[in-house]
Amino acid sequence: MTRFVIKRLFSAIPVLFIVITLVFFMMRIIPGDPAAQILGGGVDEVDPAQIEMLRERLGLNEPIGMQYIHFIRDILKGDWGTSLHNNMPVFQNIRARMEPTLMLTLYSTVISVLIGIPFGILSAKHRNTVADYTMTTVAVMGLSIPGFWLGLMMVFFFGVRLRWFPVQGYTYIAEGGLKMALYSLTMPAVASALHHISSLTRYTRSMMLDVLNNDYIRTARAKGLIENKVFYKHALKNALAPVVTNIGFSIAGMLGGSTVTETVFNLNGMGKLAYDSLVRRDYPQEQAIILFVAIIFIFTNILLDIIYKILDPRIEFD
Amino acid sequence: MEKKKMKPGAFFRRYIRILVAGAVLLFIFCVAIFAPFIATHDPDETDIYKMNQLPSEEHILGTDPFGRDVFSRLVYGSRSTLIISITVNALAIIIGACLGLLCGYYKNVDAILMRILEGINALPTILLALVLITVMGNGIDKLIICLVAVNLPGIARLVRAQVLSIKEKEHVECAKACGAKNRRIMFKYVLPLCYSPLIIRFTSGLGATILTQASLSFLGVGMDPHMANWGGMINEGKAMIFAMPQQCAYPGICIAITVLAFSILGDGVRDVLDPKLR
Repeated sequence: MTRFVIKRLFSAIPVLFIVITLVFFMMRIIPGDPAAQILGGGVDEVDPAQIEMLRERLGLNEPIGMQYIHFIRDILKGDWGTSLHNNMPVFQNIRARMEPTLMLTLYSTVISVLIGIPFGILSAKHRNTVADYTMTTVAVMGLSIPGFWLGLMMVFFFGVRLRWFPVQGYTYIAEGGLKMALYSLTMPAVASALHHISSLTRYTRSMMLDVLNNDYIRTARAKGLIENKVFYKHALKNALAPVVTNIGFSIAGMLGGSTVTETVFNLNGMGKLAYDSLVRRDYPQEQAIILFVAIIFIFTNILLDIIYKILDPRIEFD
Repeated sequence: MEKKKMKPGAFFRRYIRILVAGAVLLFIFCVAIFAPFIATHDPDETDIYKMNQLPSEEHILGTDPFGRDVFSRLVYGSRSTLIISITVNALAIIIGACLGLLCGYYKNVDAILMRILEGINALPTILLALVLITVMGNGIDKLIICLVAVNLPGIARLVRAQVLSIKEKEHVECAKACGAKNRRIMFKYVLPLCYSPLIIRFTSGLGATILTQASLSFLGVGMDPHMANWGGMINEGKAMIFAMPQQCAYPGICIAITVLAFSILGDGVRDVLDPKLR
Protein backbone atom coordinates (compact mmCIF):
# COMPACT_ATOMS: atom_id res chain seq x y z
CA MET A 1 0.00 0.00 0.00
CA THR A 2 2.78 2.45 0.95
CA ARG A 3 4.50 1.58 -2.29
CA PHE A 4 1.33 2.29 -4.18
CA VAL A 5 0.93 5.69 -2.52
CA ILE A 6 4.51 6.68 -3.22
CA LYS A 7 4.29 5.50 -6.80
CA ARG A 8 1.08 7.42 -7.32
CA LEU A 9 2.60 10.58 -5.83
CA PHE A 10 5.60 10.34 -8.14
CA SER A 11 3.37 9.87 -11.16
CA ALA A 12 1.89 13.30 -10.42
CA ILE A 13 5.20 15.06 -11.02
CA PRO A 14 5.15 15.00 -14.86
CA VAL A 15 1.51 16.07 -14.93
CA LEU A 16 2.24 18.95 -12.57
CA PHE A 17 5.15 19.95 -14.73
CA ILE A 18 2.98 19.90 -17.86
CA VAL A 19 0.32 21.99 -16.14
CA ILE A 20 2.88 24.58 -15.09
CA THR A 21 4.22 24.70 -18.65
CA LEU A 22 0.73 24.98 -20.13
CA VAL A 23 -0.19 27.83 -17.81
CA PHE A 24 3.08 29.62 -18.57
CA PHE A 25 2.58 29.50 -22.33
CA MET A 26 -1.13 30.20 -22.19
CA MET A 27 -0.41 33.42 -20.36
CA ARG A 28 2.38 34.35 -22.75
CA ILE A 29 0.53 33.90 -26.05
CA ILE A 30 -2.07 36.51 -25.20
CA PRO A 31 -1.83 38.86 -28.15
CA GLY A 32 -0.38 42.27 -27.57
CA ASP A 33 1.94 43.47 -24.87
CA PRO A 34 0.58 42.37 -21.49
CA ALA A 35 2.12 45.40 -19.84
CA ALA A 36 0.32 47.78 -22.22
CA GLN A 37 -2.86 45.76 -21.79
CA ILE A 38 -2.66 45.97 -18.02
CA LEU A 39 -1.97 49.68 -17.95
CA GLY A 40 -4.28 50.87 -20.70
CA GLY A 41 -6.70 48.02 -21.19
CA GLY A 42 -5.42 47.82 -24.77
CA VAL A 43 -7.28 51.02 -25.66
CA ASP A 44 -5.62 54.05 -24.08
CA GLU A 45 -2.23 55.43 -24.93
CA VAL A 46 0.16 54.79 -22.08
CA ASP A 47 3.47 56.41 -21.24
CA PRO A 48 6.19 54.14 -22.71
CA ALA A 49 8.37 54.62 -19.64
CA GLN A 50 5.58 53.22 -17.49
CA ILE A 51 5.19 50.24 -19.77
CA GLU A 52 8.92 49.65 -19.62
CA MET A 53 8.81 49.72 -15.81
CA LEU A 54 6.01 47.19 -15.64
CA ARG A 55 7.70 44.98 -18.21
CA GLU A 56 10.78 45.00 -16.02
CA ARG A 57 8.73 44.18 -12.94
CA LEU A 58 6.91 41.32 -14.64
CA GLY A 59 10.18 40.05 -16.05
CA LEU A 60 8.90 40.36 -19.61
CA ASN A 61 12.16 41.78 -20.93
CA GLU A 62 14.03 38.55 -20.51
CA PRO A 63 14.21 35.93 -23.24
CA ILE A 64 11.32 33.48 -23.07
CA GLY A 65 13.54 30.57 -22.00
CA MET A 66 14.86 32.51 -19.02
CA GLN A 67 11.33 33.61 -18.13
CA TYR A 68 10.27 29.99 -18.11
CA ILE A 69 13.13 28.92 -15.86
CA HIS A 70 12.49 31.80 -13.46
CA PHE A 71 8.79 30.99 -13.48
CA ILE A 72 9.39 27.40 -12.42
CA ARG A 73 12.00 28.42 -9.86
CA ASP A 74 9.63 30.94 -8.27
CA ILE A 75 6.80 28.46 -8.14
CA LEU A 76 8.96 25.82 -6.49
CA LYS A 77 10.17 28.42 -4.00
CA GLY A 78 6.56 29.25 -3.17
CA ASP A 79 6.84 32.79 -4.51
CA TRP A 80 3.84 32.92 -6.83
CA GLY A 81 3.91 36.65 -7.41
CA THR A 82 1.79 39.60 -6.39
CA SER A 83 -1.55 40.59 -7.75
CA LEU A 84 -1.55 43.59 -10.08
CA HIS A 85 -4.97 44.50 -8.79
CA ASN A 86 -4.30 45.01 -5.10
CA ASN A 87 -0.56 44.37 -4.79
CA MET A 88 -1.09 41.53 -2.34
CA PRO A 89 0.66 38.20 -2.63
CA VAL A 90 -1.54 36.08 -4.89
CA PHE A 91 -1.74 33.32 -2.32
CA GLN A 92 -3.19 35.67 0.23
CA ASN A 93 -5.91 36.66 -2.23
CA ILE A 94 -6.69 33.02 -2.90
CA ARG A 95 -6.84 32.23 0.79
CA ALA A 96 -9.23 35.11 1.40
CA ARG A 97 -11.52 33.68 -1.26
CA MET A 98 -11.42 30.08 -0.16
CA GLU A 99 -14.13 30.00 2.45
CA PRO A 100 -17.18 30.62 0.22
CA THR A 101 -15.96 28.14 -2.39
CA LEU A 102 -15.15 25.49 0.18
CA MET A 103 -18.47 25.89 1.96
CA LEU A 104 -20.38 25.91 -1.31
CA THR A 105 -18.64 22.73 -2.45
CA LEU A 106 -19.29 20.90 0.81
CA TYR A 107 -22.90 22.05 1.09
CA SER A 108 -23.71 21.19 -2.48
CA THR A 109 -21.96 17.81 -2.23
CA VAL A 110 -23.92 16.91 0.89
CA ILE A 111 -27.17 17.79 -0.87
CA SER A 112 -26.32 15.79 -3.97
CA VAL A 113 -25.16 12.74 -2.02
CA LEU A 114 -28.22 12.76 0.23
CA ILE A 115 -30.57 12.92 -2.74
CA GLY A 116 -28.65 11.37 -5.61
CA ILE A 117 -27.51 8.10 -4.06
CA PRO A 118 -30.86 7.06 -2.52
CA PHE A 119 -32.59 7.95 -5.79
CA GLY A 120 -30.12 5.87 -7.75
CA ILE A 121 -30.47 2.90 -5.40
CA LEU A 122 -34.26 3.01 -5.41
CA SER A 123 -34.29 3.43 -9.15
CA ALA A 124 -32.14 0.32 -9.58
CA LYS A 125 -34.18 -1.63 -7.04
CA HIS A 126 -37.47 -0.91 -8.77
CA ARG A 127 -36.04 -1.17 -12.23
CA ASN A 128 -38.45 -0.64 -15.12
CA THR A 129 -41.30 0.49 -12.90
CA VAL A 130 -43.06 3.82 -12.96
CA ALA A 131 -40.89 5.02 -10.06
CA ASP A 132 -37.72 4.16 -11.99
CA TYR A 133 -38.92 5.90 -15.14
CA THR A 134 -39.91 8.98 -13.17
CA MET A 135 -36.56 9.22 -11.40
CA THR A 136 -34.46 8.62 -14.51
CA THR A 137 -36.53 11.12 -16.48
CA VAL A 138 -36.18 13.73 -13.75
CA ALA A 139 -32.45 13.03 -13.72
CA VAL A 140 -32.14 13.59 -17.48
CA MET A 141 -34.11 16.80 -17.13
CA GLY A 142 -31.87 17.92 -14.28
CA LEU A 143 -28.83 17.41 -16.48
CA SER A 144 -30.37 19.53 -19.23
CA ILE A 145 -31.18 22.64 -17.23
CA PRO A 146 -28.33 25.13 -17.13
CA GLY A 147 -27.31 25.54 -13.48
CA PHE A 148 -26.79 29.28 -13.78
CA TRP A 149 -30.24 29.72 -15.26
CA LEU A 150 -31.85 27.73 -12.46
CA GLY A 151 -29.90 29.95 -10.07
CA LEU A 152 -31.30 33.11 -11.65
CA MET A 153 -34.83 31.76 -11.59
CA MET A 154 -34.40 30.81 -7.94
CA VAL A 155 -33.16 34.31 -7.22
CA PHE A 156 -36.38 35.62 -8.69
CA PHE A 157 -38.80 33.20 -7.01
CA PHE A 158 -37.25 32.53 -3.61
CA GLY A 159 -35.26 35.73 -3.27
CA VAL A 160 -37.41 38.44 -4.78
CA ARG A 161 -40.95 37.08 -4.73
CA LEU A 162 -41.04 34.96 -1.59
CA ARG A 163 -38.09 36.59 0.20
CA TRP A 164 -37.04 33.29 1.74
CA PHE A 165 -33.36 33.60 1.01
CA PRO A 166 -30.89 36.44 0.47
CA VAL A 167 -30.59 37.29 -3.21
CA GLN A 168 -26.82 37.35 -3.32
CA GLY A 169 -23.62 37.43 -1.31
CA TYR A 170 -22.21 35.24 1.38
CA THR A 171 -22.20 35.71 5.16
CA TYR A 172 -18.83 34.64 6.50
CA ILE A 173 -18.77 32.21 9.41
CA ALA A 174 -16.83 34.75 11.46
CA GLU A 175 -19.59 37.30 10.88
CA GLY A 176 -22.81 35.39 11.33
CA GLY A 177 -21.91 31.91 12.45
CA LEU A 178 -22.19 28.62 10.57
CA LYS A 179 -25.96 28.74 10.42
CA MET A 180 -26.08 32.09 8.64
CA ALA A 181 -23.30 31.03 6.29
CA LEU A 182 -25.22 27.94 5.25
CA TYR A 183 -28.43 29.94 5.01
CA SER A 184 -26.85 32.41 2.62
CA LEU A 185 -25.48 29.55 0.52
CA THR A 186 -28.67 27.51 0.23
CA MET A 187 -29.73 28.75 -3.19
CA PRO A 188 -26.28 28.58 -4.79
CA ALA A 189 -25.77 25.12 -3.32
CA VAL A 190 -29.05 23.82 -4.71
CA ALA A 191 -28.40 25.41 -8.10
CA SER A 192 -24.97 23.86 -8.42
CA ALA A 193 -26.09 20.55 -6.89
CA LEU A 194 -28.69 20.01 -9.59
CA HIS A 195 -26.28 18.51 -12.11
CA HIS A 196 -24.52 16.44 -9.49
CA ILE A 197 -27.77 15.04 -8.13
CA SER A 198 -28.80 14.00 -11.62
CA SER A 199 -25.53 12.48 -12.64
CA LEU A 200 -25.14 10.75 -9.28
CA THR A 201 -28.61 9.24 -9.59
CA ARG A 202 -27.83 7.91 -13.04
CA TYR A 203 -24.39 6.70 -12.08
CA THR A 204 -25.48 4.94 -8.90
CA ARG A 205 -28.32 3.28 -10.79
CA SER A 206 -26.11 1.94 -13.56
CA MET A 207 -23.43 0.81 -11.09
CA MET A 208 -26.04 -1.06 -9.04
CA LEU A 209 -27.48 -2.73 -12.13
CA ASP A 210 -23.97 -3.66 -13.19
CA VAL A 211 -23.17 -5.29 -9.87
CA LEU A 212 -26.53 -7.07 -9.72
CA ASN A 213 -25.56 -8.98 -12.86
CA ASN A 214 -22.62 -10.63 -11.14
CA ASP A 215 -22.39 -14.32 -10.30
CA TYR A 216 -22.02 -13.82 -6.58
CA ILE A 217 -25.36 -12.07 -6.46
CA ARG A 218 -26.92 -15.10 -8.10
CA THR A 219 -25.17 -17.31 -5.54
CA ALA A 220 -26.43 -15.17 -2.69
CA ARG A 221 -29.94 -15.41 -4.03
CA ALA A 222 -29.60 -19.13 -4.67
CA LYS A 223 -28.65 -19.83 -1.11
CA GLY A 224 -31.95 -18.29 -0.08
CA LEU A 225 -30.98 -14.89 1.31
CA ILE A 226 -33.80 -12.41 1.52
CA GLU A 227 -33.77 -9.96 -1.35
CA ASN A 228 -33.16 -6.91 0.83
CA LYS A 229 -30.06 -8.45 2.30
CA VAL A 230 -28.73 -9.36 -1.13
CA PHE A 231 -29.44 -5.89 -2.35
CA TYR A 232 -28.19 -3.74 0.50
CA LYS A 233 -25.41 -5.92 1.82
CA HIS A 234 -23.93 -7.72 -1.14
CA ALA A 235 -24.64 -5.42 -4.06
CA LEU A 236 -24.59 -1.93 -2.55
CA LYS A 237 -21.20 -2.35 -0.92
CA ASN A 238 -19.57 -3.19 -4.21
CA ALA A 239 -21.39 -0.61 -6.24
CA LEU A 240 -20.43 2.25 -3.97
CA ALA A 241 -16.68 2.25 -4.63
CA PRO A 242 -16.93 3.80 -8.11
CA VAL A 243 -19.70 6.08 -6.83
CA VAL A 244 -17.39 7.46 -4.17
CA THR A 245 -14.79 8.21 -6.84
CA ASN A 246 -17.43 9.96 -8.88
CA ILE A 247 -18.31 12.15 -5.90
CA GLY A 248 -14.65 12.96 -5.44
CA PHE A 249 -14.37 14.07 -9.06
CA SER A 250 -17.29 16.40 -8.70
CA ILE A 251 -15.77 17.88 -5.54
CA ALA A 252 -12.49 18.46 -7.33
CA GLY A 253 -14.32 20.02 -10.25
CA MET A 254 -16.41 22.29 -8.05
CA LEU A 255 -13.47 23.60 -6.06
CA GLY A 256 -12.16 25.27 -9.18
CA GLY A 257 -15.08 25.34 -11.51
CA SER A 258 -17.98 27.04 -9.80
CA THR A 259 -17.16 30.28 -11.61
CA VAL A 260 -20.64 30.55 -13.06
CA THR A 261 -22.57 29.86 -9.86
CA GLU A 262 -20.38 32.26 -7.93
CA THR A 263 -20.96 34.94 -10.54
CA VAL A 264 -24.74 34.48 -10.48
CA PHE A 265 -24.94 34.79 -6.72
CA ASN A 266 -22.09 37.25 -6.41
CA LEU A 267 -20.13 35.05 -4.00
CA ASN A 268 -16.56 36.15 -3.53
CA GLY A 269 -15.10 32.71 -4.05
CA MET A 270 -12.19 31.35 -6.03
CA GLY A 271 -14.17 30.86 -9.23
CA LYS A 272 -15.22 34.48 -9.21
CA LEU A 273 -11.65 35.53 -8.44
CA ALA A 274 -10.49 33.60 -11.51
CA TYR A 275 -13.10 35.33 -13.64
CA ASP A 276 -12.48 38.79 -12.19
CA SER A 277 -8.72 38.47 -12.57
CA LEU A 278 -9.16 37.52 -16.20
CA VAL A 279 -11.40 40.52 -16.82
CA ARG A 280 -8.96 42.80 -14.99
CA ARG A 281 -6.01 41.31 -16.89
CA ASP A 282 -4.42 40.48 -13.56
CA TYR A 283 -2.16 37.82 -15.07
CA PRO A 284 -0.10 36.82 -12.02
CA GLN A 285 -3.30 36.24 -10.07
CA GLU A 286 -4.91 34.30 -12.91
CA GLN A 287 -1.80 32.17 -13.34
CA ALA A 288 -1.73 31.40 -9.63
CA ILE A 289 -5.36 30.46 -9.38
CA ILE A 290 -5.25 28.14 -12.38
CA LEU A 291 -2.18 26.43 -11.01
CA PHE A 292 -3.72 26.16 -7.57
CA VAL A 293 -6.91 24.63 -8.90
CA ALA A 294 -4.98 22.20 -11.08
CA ILE A 295 -2.85 21.12 -8.14
CA ILE A 296 -5.96 20.54 -6.03
CA PHE A 297 -7.40 18.49 -8.88
CA ILE A 298 -4.30 16.36 -9.31
CA PHE A 299 -3.96 15.61 -5.61
CA THR A 300 -7.66 14.92 -5.20
CA ASN A 301 -7.25 12.39 -7.98
CA ILE A 302 -4.41 10.68 -6.16
CA LEU A 303 -6.41 10.65 -2.94
CA LEU A 304 -9.33 9.13 -4.81
CA ASP A 305 -7.16 6.38 -6.27
CA ILE A 306 -5.96 5.58 -2.77
CA ILE A 307 -9.51 5.54 -1.37
CA TYR A 308 -10.62 3.39 -4.28
CA LYS A 309 -7.81 0.98 -3.59
CA ILE A 310 -8.82 0.75 0.07
CA LEU A 311 -12.47 0.22 -0.82
CA ASP A 312 -11.75 -2.28 -3.53
CA PRO A 313 -8.32 -3.92 -3.14
CA ARG A 314 -8.78 -5.96 -6.32
CA ILE A 315 -8.11 -2.90 -8.46
CA GLU A 316 -4.70 -2.69 -10.11
CA PHE A 317 -3.43 0.63 -11.41
CA ASP A 318 -0.70 0.62 -13.99
CA MET B 1 -30.43 -14.02 -27.58
CA GLU B 2 -32.82 -14.72 -30.39
CA LYS B 3 -34.34 -11.81 -32.16
CA LYS B 4 -38.06 -11.52 -31.92
CA LYS B 5 -40.09 -9.56 -34.36
CA MET B 6 -41.59 -6.64 -32.52
CA LYS B 7 -45.20 -5.67 -32.81
CA PRO B 8 -45.74 -2.10 -33.96
CA GLY B 9 -47.19 -1.18 -30.56
CA ALA B 10 -44.22 -2.53 -28.67
CA PHE B 11 -41.81 -0.82 -31.04
CA PHE B 12 -43.59 2.45 -30.51
CA ARG B 13 -43.63 2.09 -26.75
CA ARG B 14 -39.97 1.22 -26.63
CA TYR B 15 -38.75 4.04 -28.80
CA ILE B 16 -41.35 6.66 -27.91
CA ARG B 17 -38.83 8.79 -26.03
CA ILE B 18 -36.38 8.79 -28.90
CA LEU B 19 -39.12 9.54 -31.40
CA VAL B 20 -40.37 12.49 -29.36
CA ALA B 21 -36.83 13.81 -28.86
CA GLY B 22 -36.18 13.42 -32.58
CA ALA B 23 -39.35 15.29 -33.44
CA VAL B 24 -38.41 18.14 -31.10
CA LEU B 25 -34.93 18.32 -32.62
CA LEU B 26 -36.37 18.29 -36.12
CA PHE B 27 -38.56 21.20 -35.11
CA ILE B 28 -35.57 23.14 -33.70
CA PHE B 29 -33.56 22.45 -36.85
CA CYS B 30 -36.44 23.72 -38.98
CA VAL B 31 -36.67 26.86 -36.86
CA ALA B 32 -32.94 27.43 -37.32
CA ILE B 33 -33.06 26.88 -41.08
CA PHE B 34 -36.16 28.96 -41.71
CA ALA B 35 -35.35 31.61 -39.10
CA PRO B 36 -35.79 34.57 -41.50
CA PHE B 37 -39.34 33.45 -42.28
CA ILE B 38 -40.33 32.75 -38.68
CA ALA B 39 -38.84 35.78 -36.97
CA THR B 40 -41.14 38.77 -36.84
CA HIS B 41 -38.38 41.36 -36.58
CA ASP B 42 -34.72 41.79 -37.39
CA PRO B 43 -33.04 40.21 -34.30
CA ASP B 44 -30.39 42.94 -34.17
CA GLU B 45 -32.67 45.91 -34.70
CA THR B 46 -32.45 48.11 -31.61
CA ASP B 47 -35.08 50.66 -30.68
CA ILE B 48 -34.43 52.84 -27.68
CA TYR B 49 -38.07 53.84 -27.50
CA LYS B 50 -39.15 50.27 -26.98
CA MET B 51 -36.84 49.00 -24.28
CA ASN B 52 -37.99 46.25 -21.92
CA GLN B 53 -41.52 46.05 -23.19
CA LEU B 54 -44.02 43.48 -22.05
CA PRO B 55 -45.44 41.07 -24.63
CA SER B 56 -47.69 42.86 -27.08
CA GLU B 57 -49.18 42.19 -30.47
CA GLU B 58 -46.16 43.60 -32.22
CA HIS B 59 -43.60 41.88 -29.97
CA ILE B 60 -44.98 38.48 -29.03
CA LEU B 61 -42.53 37.96 -26.16
CA GLY B 62 -41.70 41.59 -25.48
CA THR B 63 -38.40 43.38 -26.01
CA ASP B 64 -34.99 43.27 -24.30
CA PRO B 65 -32.98 46.09 -22.64
CA PHE B 66 -31.88 47.28 -26.11
CA GLY B 67 -35.39 47.29 -27.52
CA ARG B 68 -34.78 44.18 -29.63
CA ASP B 69 -37.56 41.68 -30.24
CA VAL B 70 -37.10 38.75 -27.83
CA PHE B 71 -38.98 36.23 -29.97
CA SER B 72 -36.90 36.93 -33.07
CA ARG B 73 -33.71 36.70 -31.06
CA LEU B 74 -34.81 33.34 -29.66
CA VAL B 75 -35.48 32.10 -33.19
CA TYR B 76 -32.09 33.26 -34.47
CA GLY B 77 -30.39 32.02 -31.31
CA SER B 78 -31.18 28.45 -32.33
CA ARG B 79 -28.84 28.90 -35.29
CA SER B 80 -25.69 29.70 -33.39
CA THR B 81 -26.50 27.06 -30.77
CA LEU B 82 -26.86 24.26 -33.31
CA ILE B 83 -23.99 25.34 -35.53
CA ILE B 84 -21.58 25.58 -32.62
CA SER B 85 -22.50 22.36 -30.88
CA ILE B 86 -22.50 20.26 -34.04
CA THR B 87 -19.29 21.71 -35.48
CA VAL B 88 -17.47 21.48 -32.17
CA ASN B 89 -18.39 17.87 -31.58
CA ALA B 90 -17.70 16.78 -35.16
CA LEU B 91 -14.28 18.42 -35.15
CA ALA B 92 -13.44 17.19 -31.67
CA ILE B 93 -14.41 13.63 -32.61
CA ILE B 94 -12.29 13.65 -35.78
CA ILE B 95 -9.21 15.19 -34.19
CA GLY B 96 -9.66 13.31 -30.92
CA ALA B 97 -10.00 10.01 -32.75
CA CYS B 98 -6.77 10.63 -34.66
CA LEU B 99 -4.92 11.58 -31.47
CA GLY B 100 -6.35 8.58 -29.65
CA LEU B 101 -5.31 6.26 -32.49
CA LEU B 102 -1.78 7.63 -32.45
CA CYS B 103 -1.58 7.30 -28.67
CA GLY B 104 -2.93 3.80 -28.62
CA TYR B 105 -0.74 2.69 -31.46
CA TYR B 106 2.64 4.32 -30.91
CA LYS B 107 4.13 4.05 -27.45
CA ASN B 108 6.44 7.09 -27.70
CA VAL B 109 3.66 9.35 -28.95
CA ASP B 110 1.52 8.03 -26.15
CA ALA B 111 4.03 8.93 -23.46
CA ILE B 112 4.17 12.58 -24.53
CA LEU B 113 0.66 13.23 -25.80
CA MET B 114 -1.15 11.51 -22.96
CA ARG B 115 0.76 13.55 -20.38
CA ILE B 116 -0.17 16.78 -22.14
CA LEU B 117 -3.80 15.76 -22.37
CA GLU B 118 -3.73 14.77 -18.71
CA GLY B 119 -2.38 18.23 -17.93
CA ILE B 120 -5.20 19.89 -19.88
CA ASN B 121 -7.62 17.61 -18.10
CA ALA B 122 -6.46 18.86 -14.71
CA LEU B 123 -7.85 22.30 -15.51
CA PRO B 124 -11.57 22.79 -14.97
CA THR B 125 -13.50 23.02 -18.26
CA ILE B 126 -15.03 26.44 -17.74
CA LEU B 127 -11.81 27.97 -16.46
CA LEU B 128 -9.78 26.58 -19.36
CA ALA B 129 -12.37 27.75 -21.86
CA LEU B 130 -12.45 31.19 -20.24
CA VAL B 131 -8.69 31.59 -20.43
CA LEU B 132 -8.47 30.30 -24.01
CA ILE B 133 -11.23 32.55 -25.25
CA THR B 134 -9.62 35.53 -23.53
CA VAL B 135 -6.34 34.66 -25.18
CA MET B 136 -7.92 34.34 -28.62
CA GLY B 137 -10.63 36.99 -28.42
CA ASN B 138 -14.36 36.73 -29.08
CA GLY B 139 -15.88 35.29 -32.22
CA ILE B 140 -17.77 32.21 -33.27
CA ASP B 141 -14.75 30.60 -34.99
CA LYS B 142 -12.53 31.15 -31.97
CA LEU B 143 -15.23 29.87 -29.66
CA ILE B 144 -15.39 26.68 -31.74
CA ILE B 145 -11.61 26.20 -31.55
CA CYS B 146 -11.69 26.77 -27.81
CA LEU B 147 -14.53 24.30 -27.21
CA VAL B 148 -12.84 21.69 -29.40
CA ALA B 149 -9.67 22.03 -27.31
CA VAL B 150 -11.68 21.55 -24.15
CA ASN B 151 -13.34 18.39 -25.49
CA LEU B 152 -10.24 16.79 -27.00
CA PRO B 153 -8.66 15.09 -23.97
CA GLY B 154 -11.78 13.11 -23.12
CA ILE B 155 -12.26 11.82 -26.65
CA ALA B 156 -8.60 11.00 -27.15
CA ARG B 157 -8.57 8.99 -23.92
CA LEU B 158 -11.73 7.16 -24.92
CA VAL B 159 -10.30 6.14 -28.30
CA ARG B 160 -6.91 5.29 -26.82
CA ALA B 161 -8.49 2.89 -24.34
CA GLN B 162 -10.44 1.25 -27.16
CA VAL B 163 -7.39 0.99 -29.40
CA LEU B 164 -5.31 -0.61 -26.66
CA SER B 165 -7.80 -3.45 -26.33
CA ILE B 166 -8.61 -3.77 -30.05
CA LYS B 167 -4.90 -3.93 -30.90
CA GLU B 168 -4.67 -7.31 -29.20
CA LYS B 169 -7.53 -8.84 -31.19
CA GLU B 170 -6.93 -11.63 -33.68
CA HIS B 171 -8.03 -9.78 -36.78
CA VAL B 172 -5.41 -7.10 -36.19
CA GLU B 173 -2.75 -9.74 -35.69
CA CYS B 174 -3.92 -11.41 -38.85
CA ALA B 175 -3.67 -8.19 -40.80
CA LYS B 176 -0.19 -7.66 -39.43
CA ALA B 177 0.83 -11.16 -40.45
CA CYS B 178 -0.44 -10.44 -43.94
CA GLY B 179 1.92 -7.49 -44.08
CA ALA B 180 -0.54 -4.62 -43.78
CA LYS B 181 1.04 -1.26 -43.09
CA ASN B 182 0.42 0.49 -39.76
CA ARG B 183 -1.71 3.16 -41.32
CA ARG B 184 -3.91 0.63 -43.06
CA ILE B 185 -4.36 -1.34 -39.85
CA MET B 186 -5.16 1.77 -37.88
CA PHE B 187 -7.83 3.11 -40.20
CA LYS B 188 -9.18 -0.11 -41.64
CA TYR B 189 -9.07 -2.60 -38.78
CA VAL B 190 -8.93 -0.61 -35.58
CA LEU B 191 -10.87 2.59 -36.17
CA PRO B 192 -14.11 0.96 -37.41
CA LEU B 193 -14.41 -0.86 -34.09
CA CYS B 194 -14.30 2.50 -32.30
CA TYR B 195 -17.24 3.87 -34.25
CA SER B 196 -20.00 3.03 -31.80
CA PRO B 197 -18.37 4.60 -28.70
CA LEU B 198 -17.54 7.61 -30.85
CA ILE B 199 -21.11 7.99 -32.07
CA ILE B 200 -22.30 7.71 -28.47
CA ARG B 201 -19.79 10.35 -27.42
CA PHE B 202 -20.86 12.60 -30.28
CA THR B 203 -24.55 12.56 -29.44
CA SER B 204 -24.03 12.90 -25.70
CA GLY B 205 -21.49 15.69 -26.30
CA LEU B 206 -23.96 17.83 -28.25
CA GLY B 207 -26.01 18.77 -25.20
CA ALA B 208 -22.98 19.26 -22.98
CA THR B 209 -21.41 21.65 -25.49
CA ILE B 210 -24.58 23.73 -25.61
CA LEU B 211 -24.43 24.07 -21.82
CA THR B 212 -20.74 25.04 -21.80
CA GLN B 213 -21.26 27.54 -24.58
CA ALA B 214 -24.27 29.00 -22.78
CA SER B 215 -22.23 29.36 -19.58
CA LEU B 216 -19.49 31.19 -21.46
CA SER B 217 -21.95 33.51 -23.17
CA PHE B 218 -23.57 34.09 -19.82
CA LEU B 219 -20.21 35.24 -18.49
CA GLY B 220 -20.03 37.56 -21.45
CA VAL B 221 -17.24 35.86 -23.40
CA GLY B 222 -17.11 33.74 -26.49
CA MET B 223 -19.81 34.87 -28.84
CA ASP B 224 -19.91 38.21 -30.55
CA PRO B 225 -22.35 40.05 -28.24
CA HIS B 226 -24.43 41.30 -31.18
CA MET B 227 -25.10 37.85 -32.51
CA ALA B 228 -28.31 36.44 -31.06
CA ASN B 229 -27.56 33.52 -28.75
CA TRP B 230 -29.42 32.08 -25.81
CA GLY B 231 -26.69 32.28 -23.18
CA GLY B 232 -26.00 35.87 -24.09
CA MET B 233 -29.71 36.70 -23.84
CA ILE B 234 -29.75 35.41 -20.28
CA ASN B 235 -26.70 37.54 -19.55
CA GLU B 236 -28.37 40.64 -20.97
CA GLY B 237 -31.63 39.95 -19.16
CA LYS B 238 -29.81 39.32 -15.87
CA ALA B 239 -29.94 42.98 -14.90
CA MET B 240 -33.70 42.93 -15.30
CA ILE B 241 -34.25 39.75 -13.29
CA PHE B 242 -36.18 41.57 -10.56
CA ALA B 243 -38.63 43.31 -12.85
CA MET B 244 -38.79 41.14 -15.97
CA PRO B 245 -37.65 37.59 -15.24
CA GLN B 246 -39.20 36.38 -18.50
CA GLN B 247 -36.27 37.85 -20.43
CA CYS B 248 -34.07 35.29 -18.69
CA ALA B 249 -36.70 32.58 -18.54
CA TYR B 250 -37.35 32.11 -22.27
CA PRO B 251 -33.80 31.53 -23.49
CA GLY B 252 -33.18 29.21 -20.52
CA ILE B 253 -36.22 27.15 -21.44
CA CYS B 254 -34.98 26.96 -25.04
CA ILE B 255 -31.56 25.76 -23.86
CA ALA B 256 -33.12 23.19 -21.52
CA ILE B 257 -35.44 21.78 -24.18
CA THR B 258 -32.70 21.52 -26.79
CA VAL B 259 -30.24 19.92 -24.40
CA LEU B 260 -32.92 17.56 -23.09
CA ALA B 261 -33.80 16.45 -26.61
CA PHE B 262 -30.12 15.85 -27.41
CA SER B 263 -29.61 13.93 -24.14
CA ILE B 264 -32.59 11.66 -24.72
CA LEU B 265 -31.44 11.05 -28.26
CA GLY B 266 -27.94 10.34 -26.92
CA ASP B 267 -29.30 7.85 -24.38
CA GLY B 268 -31.34 6.22 -27.12
CA VAL B 269 -28.34 5.90 -29.42
CA ARG B 270 -26.35 4.43 -26.55
CA ASP B 271 -29.03 1.86 -25.77
CA VAL B 272 -29.10 0.78 -29.40
CA LEU B 273 -25.33 0.67 -29.94
CA ASP B 274 -24.23 -0.56 -26.54
CA PRO B 275 -27.09 -2.50 -24.97
CA LYS B 276 -25.08 -3.67 -21.97
CA LEU B 277 -24.96 -0.13 -20.54
CA ARG B 278 -28.74 0.05 -20.41
